[in-house]
Amino acid sequence: MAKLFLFGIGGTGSRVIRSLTMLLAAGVELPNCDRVVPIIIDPDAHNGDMNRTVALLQSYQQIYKKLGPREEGFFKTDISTLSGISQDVNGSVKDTFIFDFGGINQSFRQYLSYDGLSVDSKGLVDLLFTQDNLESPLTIGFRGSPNVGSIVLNKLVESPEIRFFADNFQEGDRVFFVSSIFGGTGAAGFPLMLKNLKDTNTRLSNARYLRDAPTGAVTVMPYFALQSEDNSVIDSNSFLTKTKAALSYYEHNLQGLNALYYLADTPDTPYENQPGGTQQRNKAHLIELLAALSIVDFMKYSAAELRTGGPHFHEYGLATDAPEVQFNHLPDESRELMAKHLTQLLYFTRYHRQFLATDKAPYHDNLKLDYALRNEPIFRELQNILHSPEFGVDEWLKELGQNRRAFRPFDLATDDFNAMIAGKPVEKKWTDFFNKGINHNYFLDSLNKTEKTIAEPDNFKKLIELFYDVTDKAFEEKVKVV
Amino acid sequence: MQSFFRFLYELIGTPQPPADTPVYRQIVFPNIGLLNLGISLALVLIFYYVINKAMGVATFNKLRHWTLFLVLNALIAFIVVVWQAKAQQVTDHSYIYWLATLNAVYGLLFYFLFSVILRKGSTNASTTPF
Repeated sequence: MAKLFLFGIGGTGSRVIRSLTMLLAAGVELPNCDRVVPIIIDPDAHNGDMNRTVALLQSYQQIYKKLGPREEGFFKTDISTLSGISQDVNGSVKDTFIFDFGGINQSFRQYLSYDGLSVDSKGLVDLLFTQDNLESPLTIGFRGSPNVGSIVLNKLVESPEIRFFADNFQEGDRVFFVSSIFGGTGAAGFPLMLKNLKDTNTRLSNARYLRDAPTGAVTVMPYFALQSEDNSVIDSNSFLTKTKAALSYYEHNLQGLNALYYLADTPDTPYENQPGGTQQRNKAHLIELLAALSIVDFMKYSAAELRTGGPHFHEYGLATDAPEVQFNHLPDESRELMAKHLTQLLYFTRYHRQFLATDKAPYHDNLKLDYALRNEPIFRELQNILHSPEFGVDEWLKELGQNRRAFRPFDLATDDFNAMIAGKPVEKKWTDFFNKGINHNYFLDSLNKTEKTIAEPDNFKKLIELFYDVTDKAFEEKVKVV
Repeated sequence: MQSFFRFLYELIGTPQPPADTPVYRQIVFPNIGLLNLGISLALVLIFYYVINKAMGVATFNKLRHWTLFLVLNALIAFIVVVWQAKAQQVTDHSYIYWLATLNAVYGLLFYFLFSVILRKGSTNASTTPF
C-alpha cells in the first residue's frame, strides 16, 4: 500500500495542505498512492492557518474512515496521521497531523544555552544571529528567520516522529515537501529535512528505501506582501532578497530530489502583518491551490520517470494573465484536472446547504435523512467540512475569491445552479420548453432515479456516492466543458 | 359485473324511485362503476407515471399534490353520476345525489388503492402518500 508522506513546513505548508485536502474532498485522483500522510511542521502551535488545516484534516479523516476505499468519488483518497499508518505506535508518536515540538517554551537564546557557551562560541553566535533573533520566543515560530529555523529544525531527525516515519517507510512510498522560500520555517526546514532523509550516513532505519524514494517538493516564492509596520519583525520588502539567497543555496544543495516545482506571483494587496500565533490566518490563495496541484502532478509520474534525467524542474504559467482567475484562464491540463471536480463539489455543497434538509422526496425518505441529519454524528461531520465558517468548503471557495490574485471560477453569490460557473452559464434553448438546465427539480429527479440504482446499505456512503454520481451527470449533461 | 356494482351501490339502499331500479341496475351502476375505476386509474397513472416519472417533474410529489388529485378524482366521480343520471333520463330525485356522494367515496377508495399498488414504479413519488 503506497503512501505519500507530505511534509507541510511552515504556514505555507499548512495552507497548501488545506487546498490539497479540498481537491481530494472534491474527488481529484491522486495516482500511485493509496494514502496521504500529512505531517505539518510548524513550531508555532497556535498558528491560525495550521489549526484550521488540522481541523479540516481531522474532519476529512472521519469522513474517509466511514466511507472506506472506492474507485472514485468525493473523499476518495485516504488521509492518515503518522501514527495511523502502523498499529505499532508504542505511545511515542501522538495521533495528530502536527509534528510535536513538545512546546518550545523559550527564547532562541535559551534554546542555544547561550549564557553557558564559551566566549568563542558566543562570538560565532553573535556573528550569525541578531539580538532580535536571540530574544525571539520560539513559540511563534522563526518569524521569517531561516538562520534560526535551521538550528531548531536540524534536531527534527532525532525526534520520535521522524524515527517512526523511517521505521514505517516502505518501498514504493514517496516523499513530498511543501514550503515557502521567503519565510523562516519553510525556507530552513525543507533543505534540512531533505538533507537528513537522504543522508548516506543516516542512522534512520529503511535508509535505502528513503534514499531511493521518489521525492518532490514545491517551493513557493513570494506571492504576497505584508503591511509595513515599524515594529514588526517581518518585512516583506526582504522577501525577494531572501528568496535569491535561498535559491543560490538550493542550486547546489538539494541532493536526492527528483522533482522541484516553483511557484510565485506578484504581490498585490498586502496582508495584515502577523508574525505568528492565532492571528496568522491568511485567506486561501490561488498559489496554494496550484501548489496542491503540483503534488497531484508529481504523483502522476511513475517512479521510473522521476528517476530518469532528474531532477525535473517545473514552473507554472496561467493561460491568460487575469486579476480574477476563472477556469478559462487556466492551462488545459489544470482545468481538466480540477474544473469538473470542483464544480461537483460546489454543486454538492450548495445543494446540501439549500435543499437537503427540507427535501421531500423518495431518495430522502429511503436514506432516512430526516433522522440522520439530526442525529448521526457523521452527517454533522459532513455539515462541518462543507459549511464550517472556520475550515469548510464554502469558506475556502469564498477566500480564494477574495484574495489578489483572486481565483473566482464560481459566482458564489447566486443560487442559480445554471449561473454558478463564472463565464460559462448552462445554456437553455428557448425551443426546449422543458429544459430548465440545472435546478432543484433537475437534481431531485436525478437523485430519485440514481438512488434506486445504488445498492449500498449504509445511508451515509450511499448519500456521498449518490451526490457524486448526480453532480457528475449534471456536469456531463448540462455543463459539458468549461 | 352487474351484480358486483349492484352490491356496491345498493349499500345505501335500493334506487329511488323504485320504477327506475332496472335502469340503475342494468346501465347506470355498471357505467359509473367502470368509469370510476377507469378515471381513478388514469389519475393515478398521470400522477405517478406521467408527471412524476416521464415528465421528470420532481417537485409535484408532496402529500398536498397527491391529495389534490384525490379530491379531483372524487369530484369527477360525483359529476359522472349526475351526468349518467341525466343521460339515462332517470327521474330527478335526491337519490341521485346520494349515489353521486357514494361514488365519490368509492373514487377516494379506488384512488388510494391504486396509489398503494402502483406508487413504487414512480421515480419521484414512490414514497407518496407514505
